[in-house]
Amino acid sequence: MQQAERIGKYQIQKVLGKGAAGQVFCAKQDQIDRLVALKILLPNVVESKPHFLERFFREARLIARLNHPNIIALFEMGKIEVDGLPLHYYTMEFVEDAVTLQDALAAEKGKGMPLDRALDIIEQLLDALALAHREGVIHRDLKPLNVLIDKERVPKVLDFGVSKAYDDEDLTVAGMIIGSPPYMSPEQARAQKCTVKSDIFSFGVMCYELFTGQRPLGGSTSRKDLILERQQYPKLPKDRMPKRIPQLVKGFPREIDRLVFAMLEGDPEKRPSAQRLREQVANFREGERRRAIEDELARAGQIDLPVMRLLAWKLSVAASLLIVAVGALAKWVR
Amino acid sequence: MGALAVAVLTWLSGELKNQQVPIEGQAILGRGKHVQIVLDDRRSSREHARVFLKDDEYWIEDLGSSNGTFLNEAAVGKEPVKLKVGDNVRIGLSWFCFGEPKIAEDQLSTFVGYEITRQILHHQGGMLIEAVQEGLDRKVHLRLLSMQIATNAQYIHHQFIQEVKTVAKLVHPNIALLLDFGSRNLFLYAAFEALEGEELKGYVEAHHPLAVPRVLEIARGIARGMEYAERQGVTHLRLQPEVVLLTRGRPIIRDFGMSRLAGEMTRDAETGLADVSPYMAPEMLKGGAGDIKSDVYAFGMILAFLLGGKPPYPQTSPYELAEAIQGQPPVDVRALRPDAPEHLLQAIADMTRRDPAQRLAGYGAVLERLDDCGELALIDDVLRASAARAKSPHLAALDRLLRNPLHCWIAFPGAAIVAVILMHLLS
Repeated sequence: MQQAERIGKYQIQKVLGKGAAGQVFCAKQDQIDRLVALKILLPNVVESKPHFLERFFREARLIARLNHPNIIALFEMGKIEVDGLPLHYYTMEFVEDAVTLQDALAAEKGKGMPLDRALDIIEQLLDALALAHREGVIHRDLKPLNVLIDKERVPKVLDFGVSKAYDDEDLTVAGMIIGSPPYMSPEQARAQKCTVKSDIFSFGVMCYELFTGQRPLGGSTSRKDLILERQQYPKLPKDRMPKRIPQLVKGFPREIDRLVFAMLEGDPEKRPSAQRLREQVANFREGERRRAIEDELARAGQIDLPVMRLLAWKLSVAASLLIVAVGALAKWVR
Repeated sequence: MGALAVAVLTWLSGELKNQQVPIEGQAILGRGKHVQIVLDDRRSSREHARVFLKDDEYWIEDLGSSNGTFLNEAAVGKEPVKLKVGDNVRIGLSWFCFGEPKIAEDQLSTFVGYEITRQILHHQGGMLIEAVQEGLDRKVHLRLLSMQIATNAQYIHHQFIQEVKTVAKLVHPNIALLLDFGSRNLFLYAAFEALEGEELKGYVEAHHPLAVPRVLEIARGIARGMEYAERQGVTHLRLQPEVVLLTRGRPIIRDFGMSRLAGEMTRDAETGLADVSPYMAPEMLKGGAGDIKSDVYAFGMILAFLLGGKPPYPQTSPYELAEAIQGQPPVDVRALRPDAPEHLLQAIADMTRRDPAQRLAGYGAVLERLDDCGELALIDDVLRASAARAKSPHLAALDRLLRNPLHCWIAFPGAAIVAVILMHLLS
């Protein structure tokens, strides 16, 4: 198809991407001068493979269902006539001057992001995931390249359209592996049923990378090796299992480390939901704020630190001693 | 009833059936070439009848025609007769219905691309409706501006497009997103995301009294959206709880940029004002256009509402309300919420000063104040918890015990041994 200059009320600016069935442009809307990402389905594809049209519509409906500030929004769907053939299109939010989360990570030069900034991003993304999962939408390909950060530092998840509502299995080709190996869940690598918890695993890999600057898994480089390794996870030799985050980042909070490792559970059932994780991250941050103020007030001599905080580690030692003592005594007494 | 600045005659007969003819001030009906409403009817005189505006009412008079003018089948004599909404006018075989500019249902039912589900608001020439985006099965809010009916149509159309253009720039988690804009079926339209959720007004009234941290959380969300808009050079000017929606706990501001436009069209005859809201800043009631400081005022009053659960002024008539805002103190939040922290009340006072020059300058300052309030509230809470520990004799004793590491090491194993012995004795 020759390059059209406009589609409906949109003026084409440049090509953003090309696929077998469609193209994505950056386009400017008449009158209000807003830039949009405009995706079209090539008319000749519709003619030869009519089911692509159904898939195109499904994709649009799916994104339209996810009204969330941290998910790229769908604006409008329509069609125009080109040489007597219908040309279907939909428009989405175009994030100006966006950087991908991958770029943002690369800018940290192999180190992790500062905790607060990473948690800002993670909290928002978890909110978006919680909505998508509640709506029954799985992303299937969460990775830093699929997250855009806008000028206001708001992260936005891209490409929810690639995923599909998990109630329609008919589009899935049996045995086909979708996703990017470093972020793939073990069940995806084994081409087993992909659930919302598969997204949680991928998200766990992303979080680990945000905090430490390195991926928890996958020393091996080739796609094939990565997939093989992921298929065996978590039954891997100890030296290939992920290191705990405090070993890599000094003073890293254990609560958050535990959350990340909960996301990286081999058994999907054991991974927490996005909603639960979001609450836990929020609680942690709330607690941190409170602890910071307690410290400040204690330094100023206005309060005594709550005894539980003062003795937190001593109490945990005492508690474990107590358990051992009870056990030993119980045996001895018997 | 307020004045009908623009009235409409709808053709009920002939080829032009259902077409609406706007009347601005006056219109002459007749067979002649230079009249506003041309009747292709030999029974009509050249200048047959006149519809005109006088004392905020529309009247009809017969201009000495040979065959007469009929209002609801009664002949109109030499004296002008007042027209009411719904009246039928007949001249010869031409029928009209007199009415307010209203958008005919059948025009909306064929609105391409959107399926109209509910009319939310309707004012002259424009309306807000709920619709479903076809093919996407998604609910949206459509703002419609009729291209047929508007007093100074061209100006308003231009204005509408400018407003939409401004709003199109606003992409923020606390601002409703513009989805689509275009023109169809004689309307200009702007589609906004219709988020599910609860209106702030209803939420506050149902959950009063809100805990201070929740108040601050909601306020911070609104302020973040406003601060972002401020940096884009956009004011809201109709900020009030009715335009804030809580979606999954997150406040989202709607109707950005639509204010001036709505104002143009709903100006009240009595006060010369658009719908007066209790949250409107005093300078806007004196005929000022309003600026970011007016938005700060409105925000301060919303903050007071979040705390107190009552709008700042109870008056309902626009006139009384305007008087009260300019001369009377607002509802006393301190009385409504004796537990409200002093620093928060002080922040509200600094945002809602009657003199704009003394108000907080913008949302950067507002956000800072809210952060301070949050910090202070947390400090208060920590101090309170500490005081509570000190007050309770048992807790204080336990505290003293545990603070001494030696006691601690003795107490725990001791307790363990006692527990085991007890268990043994009991079994």
